[in-house]
Amino acid sequence: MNECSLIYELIQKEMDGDLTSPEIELINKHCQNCAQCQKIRNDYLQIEELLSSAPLLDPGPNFYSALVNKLEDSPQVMKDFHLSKLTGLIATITILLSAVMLFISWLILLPITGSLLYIVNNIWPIPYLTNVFGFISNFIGVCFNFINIIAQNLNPLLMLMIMVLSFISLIILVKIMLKPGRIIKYE
Amino acid sequence: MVENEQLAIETKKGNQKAFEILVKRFQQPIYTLCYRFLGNRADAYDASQETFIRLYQKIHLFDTSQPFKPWLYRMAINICNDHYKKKKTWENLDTSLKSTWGNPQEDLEKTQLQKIIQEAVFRLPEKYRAAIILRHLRDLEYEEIAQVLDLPLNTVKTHIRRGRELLRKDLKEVLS
Repeated sequence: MNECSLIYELIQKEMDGDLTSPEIELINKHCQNCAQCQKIRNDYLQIEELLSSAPLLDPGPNFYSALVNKLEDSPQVMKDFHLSKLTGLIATITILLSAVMLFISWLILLPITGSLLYIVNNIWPIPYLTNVFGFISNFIGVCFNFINIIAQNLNPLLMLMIMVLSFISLIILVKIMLKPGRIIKYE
Repeated sequence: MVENEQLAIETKKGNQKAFEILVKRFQQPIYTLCYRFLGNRADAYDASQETFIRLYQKIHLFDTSQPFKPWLYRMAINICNDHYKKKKTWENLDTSLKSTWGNPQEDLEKTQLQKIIQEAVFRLPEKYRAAIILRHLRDLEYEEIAQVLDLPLNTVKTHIRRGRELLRKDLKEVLS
C-alpha cells in the first residue's frame, strides 16, 4: 500500500471521528506535500460540513393535532385489544400440532410407500403395513418409557440428560407463551 | 427532561400526555429523516404521521429494556422504504411521474449548496442513503444507527463510507 492509499483510509477514519493524534499529525504532514490528497480531504470535509449543518425541518404547528384526528379515526380495536397477545398461545398450539402432523404423516407415508412398491415392483407390501403397527407400538413404548422413567433402572447420566433437555424445552415453550415479542420480531 | 424510555412506558400505560411529549420531541427529526429519504414535503408529512400512528398502535410491543430512539427510527425507516417502493412501482407504470427532489415552491433547505447536496443524497442507493441520513441527523451514534438498520456496526460504517465516496463523485463539479 503506498502512502496516498494509507492517507485515503485515514481521511475516511477522520470523517468517522475515529482518528488518534499521531494519525492526525500524519495526515497533516502528508497533505502539506500532496495536492491530490489535500483536495480529497477538503472535498470530504466540505461534504461532512454541509450534511452536518443542514437544519432540522419543521412539519408545521398542526402536526400533533392532525395526528390525534387520524388516531381517533383509526379502528378502536387497535387501541383496546391486540391480537398479538395471542401470538404465544398460537405459537405453542402450532408447535404441538406440527408434532402430531409429523406423526400422522409417517403413518400415512408407510402404507403409501408399501402400495407403490407393490404396484411398481410387485413386492408384497405386508412388511410395510406391519411397520405401521410397529411404529405405533414403538411410539406407545416411548410414551410408557417416559412415564416409567423414574421406576426403570437407567444410567443416572442419561436420566440427567433427559431431564435437562425436557426442562430446556419446557422453558422455551413457556417463554414463547409469555413473551412472544422477544422471540418473534415484530418491527 | 424525562427520558424517552420513561415516556414510552407511560404511553404504554395509556398516558396521552406522555405520547404528546414524545411526538413533539421527535416530530422534527422524524420529519427531516422522511423528507431527506423521500424527497418531497407531502410524502414526508404522510410518512412521519404514519410513523407516529404506528408508534401509538405498537407501543405495547416496545421492550422497555432497550433504548427507545433506535426503535422509533427503525419504524420511520421501514415506513419510508414502503413509501419509496410504492412510489417506484407507480413510476415504473407511468414514466411521467419520475422522482425528483422537492419542487420550486417547497425550498426547505437553507442554501443552494445544501439543496444540491441533499439532491445528491436522494440519488444514492437506498441502503447508503439511509445510513448517510441517519448519520447526519446528529442525535444518533454509530451503534444506534446499526440498531436502526439492523446491521453489524462495520457494515454500517462501510455503507456510510461508500455513500460518502459516491457523493464526492457526484458532486465533483460543485465542490470547490
